[in-house]
Amino acid sequence: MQTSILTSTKKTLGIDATYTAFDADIVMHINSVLATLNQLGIGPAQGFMIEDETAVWADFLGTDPRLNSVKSYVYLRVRLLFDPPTTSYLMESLNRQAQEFEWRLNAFREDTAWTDPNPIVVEEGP
Amino acid sequence: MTVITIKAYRFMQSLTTLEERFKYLSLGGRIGEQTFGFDRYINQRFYTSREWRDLRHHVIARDNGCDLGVEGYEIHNGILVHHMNPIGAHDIANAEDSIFNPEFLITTSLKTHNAIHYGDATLLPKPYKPRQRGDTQLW
Repeated sequence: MQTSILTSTKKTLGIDATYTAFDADIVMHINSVLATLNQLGIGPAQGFMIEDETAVWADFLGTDPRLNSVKSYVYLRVRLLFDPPTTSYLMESLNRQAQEFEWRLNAFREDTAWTDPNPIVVEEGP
Repeated sequence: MTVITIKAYRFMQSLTTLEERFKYLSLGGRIGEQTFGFDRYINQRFYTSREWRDLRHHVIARDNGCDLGVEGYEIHNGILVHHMNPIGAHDIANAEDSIFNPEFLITTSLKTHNAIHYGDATLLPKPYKPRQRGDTQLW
């Protein structure tokens, strides 16, 4: 998974890797989506951000193939922020797909790394 | 021997223009021809199901909300997801793979959908024609 996060997202947006005029915008949107993923419990607990094309997916996701949908999710959310569709139908469909990915990633995270919000604390009494 | 041709997205992808895709998908039905008849309740139940509505969004996103998936023909009103191979009540009752497989589905506008069913190419959307100097005729 040594694929650059920025380059692969640009590719799916239809932007050539060598065309860098919009890199600052895309990096900003990718970081926003990575922040959302962090709130869902995906990726490093301390958060993750990219600055250029050197950051790869493995840095963010590790090697777990069950998290591969994160790439599509990042594309969908960045597309909606950077290049929103001109028709409401497509906007609705892309949003629905992104929401499904969010639900599935959340379900995966709950299944593998659920944290009890009200843990039982056992204290030794006198 | 009866030969049935199955239409599929992967074959249609090699056709780049709207007209080519229309010809490929055209069914040439007749107005008033019965489709579901008295089994229409099955059809209605299917098209309002959660599974179909979820799949519909997937197909629209794949085709970029464009008529027959052709870039430049964005659909702004009346979007439909069309079964390339006509389905019947028995397909729905038996939950055949073909009714839920995106390989056999395509995004269309209402007019193009009618054109496909009735073989009327005049209903197809016209390509964008930019106005030019001295062009005194409105669209």
